[in-house]
Amino acid sequence: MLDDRIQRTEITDDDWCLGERNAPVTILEYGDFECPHCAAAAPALESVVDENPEAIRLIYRHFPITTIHPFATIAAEAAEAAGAQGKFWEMHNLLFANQPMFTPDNLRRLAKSIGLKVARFDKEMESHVHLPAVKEDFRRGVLDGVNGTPTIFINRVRYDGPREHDAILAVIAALAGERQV
Amino acid sequence: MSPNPQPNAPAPDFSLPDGNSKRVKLSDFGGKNVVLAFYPADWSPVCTSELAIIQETLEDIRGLNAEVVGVSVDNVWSHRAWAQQQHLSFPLLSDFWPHGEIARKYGVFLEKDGISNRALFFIDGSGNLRSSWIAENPAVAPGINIIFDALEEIMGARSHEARRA
Repeated sequence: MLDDRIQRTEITDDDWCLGERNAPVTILEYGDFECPHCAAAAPALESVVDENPEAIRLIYRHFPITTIHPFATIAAEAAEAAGAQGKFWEMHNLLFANQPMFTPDNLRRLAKSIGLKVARFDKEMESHVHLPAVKEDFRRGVLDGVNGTPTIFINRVRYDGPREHDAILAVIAALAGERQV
Repeated sequence: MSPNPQPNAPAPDFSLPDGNSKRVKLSDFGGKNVVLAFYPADWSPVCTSELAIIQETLEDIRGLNAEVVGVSVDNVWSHRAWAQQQHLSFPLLSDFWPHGEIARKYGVFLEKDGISNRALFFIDGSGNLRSSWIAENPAVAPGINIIFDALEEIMGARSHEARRA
């Protein structure tokens, strides 16, 4: 039986996490920084976590679709490079707010604007040290059954509903209700 | 709607023009596994991301001795322009006339809308249908794992048969 609804991979300590690591509810997002639907979903996902950081965590993994988004991989590498300097989520937000022309110069400008050490950023970008991490996320996305970007799993079940604050919270509330039964 | 073809029987044959008006038949792929991907329409957002993800993983799919063939009721000119814009390198076949004939043969033509449902059929190198995935909702694309799971099942079964032989 072919099934594509359940997240198969485990969340690891290497995953980028917004909210508390041990929060009982996990939203896993596979995203592409050049994807307009991902940018549109970002504020809702961030706000549900910001309002409930102990209850809900957001895990972000890269799923760059390079055939239609030529800058998606380099943007993902830039987010990883920012993460290496402790600023993954700052760069994540900045990328979604500044789509879609992620040329190396533009990425360097964004890096500078959040106070990254630009020499280190440049070096890591030029040698693609973070590309294996981006590819590993993509590989996990294939295993988990990404069906577009963003693909969202809530507690391991794929969520294809509206990517809006209230709709996402309603699904999470229903899950919490099931647990209490 | 016609019934869906049954697994482990010969898959319904087809001969349809691709975006370059070249006829493509199922038997052209003899020996290779075929992923027959029906989709509702060129240019629509869900189809765009579904086929883009297939393109993104195409080398890995080919690594499982498989070729992907897209099918919709769009005409060849639409297929050509869309494939160019989306950088799709696998053939898109035009089931335009007789309208939806092949989608009907596979039981996935949506009479009310005049388009194909979203569906995947997995055909082995001998031309037998092995498994399928048919959308409950055409607006939701299949997870890309479906393609790999189905092909690995075909390849796994084949190597198992080879070991027994």
